[in-house]
Amino acid sequence: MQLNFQDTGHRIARIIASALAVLGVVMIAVYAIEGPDGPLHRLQQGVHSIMAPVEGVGAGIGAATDAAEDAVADATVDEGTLSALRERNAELTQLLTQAEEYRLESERLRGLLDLKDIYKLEGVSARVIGRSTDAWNQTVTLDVGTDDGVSKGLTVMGAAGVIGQVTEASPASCVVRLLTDPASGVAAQVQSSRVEGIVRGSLTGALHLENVDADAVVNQGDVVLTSGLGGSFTKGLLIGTVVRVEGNANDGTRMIVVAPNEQAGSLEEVIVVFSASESARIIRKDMLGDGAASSGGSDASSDARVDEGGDAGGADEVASPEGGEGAS
Amino acid sequence: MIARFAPTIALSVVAIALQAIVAPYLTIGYATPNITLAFAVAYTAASRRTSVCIMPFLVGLAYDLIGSGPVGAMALLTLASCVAVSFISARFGNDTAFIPLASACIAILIANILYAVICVTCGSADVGLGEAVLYRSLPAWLYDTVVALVFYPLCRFILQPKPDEMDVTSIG
Repeated sequence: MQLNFQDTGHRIARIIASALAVLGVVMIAVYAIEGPDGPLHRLQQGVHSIMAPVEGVGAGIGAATDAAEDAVADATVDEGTLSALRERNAELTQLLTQAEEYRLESERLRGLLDLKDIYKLEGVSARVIGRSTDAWNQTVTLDVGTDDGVSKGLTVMGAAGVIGQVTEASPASCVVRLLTDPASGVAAQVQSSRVEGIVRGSLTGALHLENVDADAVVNQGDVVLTSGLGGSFTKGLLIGTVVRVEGNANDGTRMIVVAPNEQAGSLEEVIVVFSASESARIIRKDMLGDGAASSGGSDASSDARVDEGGDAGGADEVASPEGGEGAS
Repeated sequence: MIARFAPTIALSVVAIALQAIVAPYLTIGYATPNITLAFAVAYTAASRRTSVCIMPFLVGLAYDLIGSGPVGAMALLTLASCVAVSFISARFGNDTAFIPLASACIAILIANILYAVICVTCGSADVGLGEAVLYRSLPAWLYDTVVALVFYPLCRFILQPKPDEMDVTSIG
């Protein structure tokens, strides 16, 4: 395994290093040329499915790291002044933390259930058990796979909108490429004006609405939905809201920044969508993130079709503040 | 023979496990540490008298397989980095840690930039090269260098030659 360049091993070391380098170049070339079903891609997917259960351990390590940090912080406090109070306080804090965890989890699950009702989604709920191991890809691993009916290409939603698409599926797990990944692209449309474009991720984590007609009007606060074109994403699901429109449309410099309604870091439970009702495409006010609420002023509310009632039963009725027409 | 390479194998397995399990939770800003690259380069810098080539390739390949980037890219770059560090340390190094560490630092930078080039060329990252270098390579370089500096003394400690191994030249 170790080769000394100072003696007869010198030549062998060079030969081995050269052979491995050639092997590396060949693998890169094959990986670039072969399709997603090629041998190297399959090998990578196989490793992902093997590693999926192990990746979940990392979350515990993350929590343990936080606990260790807390312990270090506590250790620096004067022991004499705390003693019994600290013990009691720790106990109460633990209980409170646990209760808060349950509350947050319940809230998240309720959000997913609401979403399922609103969109009349058919799908399977899943937990995020792993995240991308490198900085170049924004992916998450879920604890559901082909055994649960998950297949490549299915749309994945968080409690407040689309988060990505299944790119790999193994029997017990699947990998989801997030919308914020630079390699990600989803056919989208602005809800109010029906302008179509493609929402792409970027290295900065922002979403950009591209390929929009030069004469199309897009305003801050506009809601962006999946358009379903190309068939890769289910139609009519919430992506996010326009938070910034920069540059000029006429000279091709216009950049439309869309704030995703879900952040990868906060994802814990999601739904893998098998199908969504065509008639249930509607955006509730409380589903829109802070970006929509705070930016765009009146545009945000006037451009979005809002279900004031907020119940699934009213999903087919669209309330427009301007008294305009309903859902298309 | 196995016992001789046991520390290397054990450290490699630990580095790969850390990459798969811990690294995703150590992301700071745009940077996720490449623990395998940092370990391989630090190990090479610490081993000094030997050149390592199979281990870097394998840990790099493990990084490629557990990640979603082009398979073979990090294997090749880790190998190249380690060979370069080994060569420079052997050629210009004295008994101080400066040359090995400086060469390790530069090798990590070049590896990260070349990885960006490969990702952009292969289409794994659908962005411009400048953007990729700015938002990924440079933060990753800083992070990986820090991790390598953490690994270096550990590797030095584990790899310090025993008296009866001082003049051993080996082919593994």
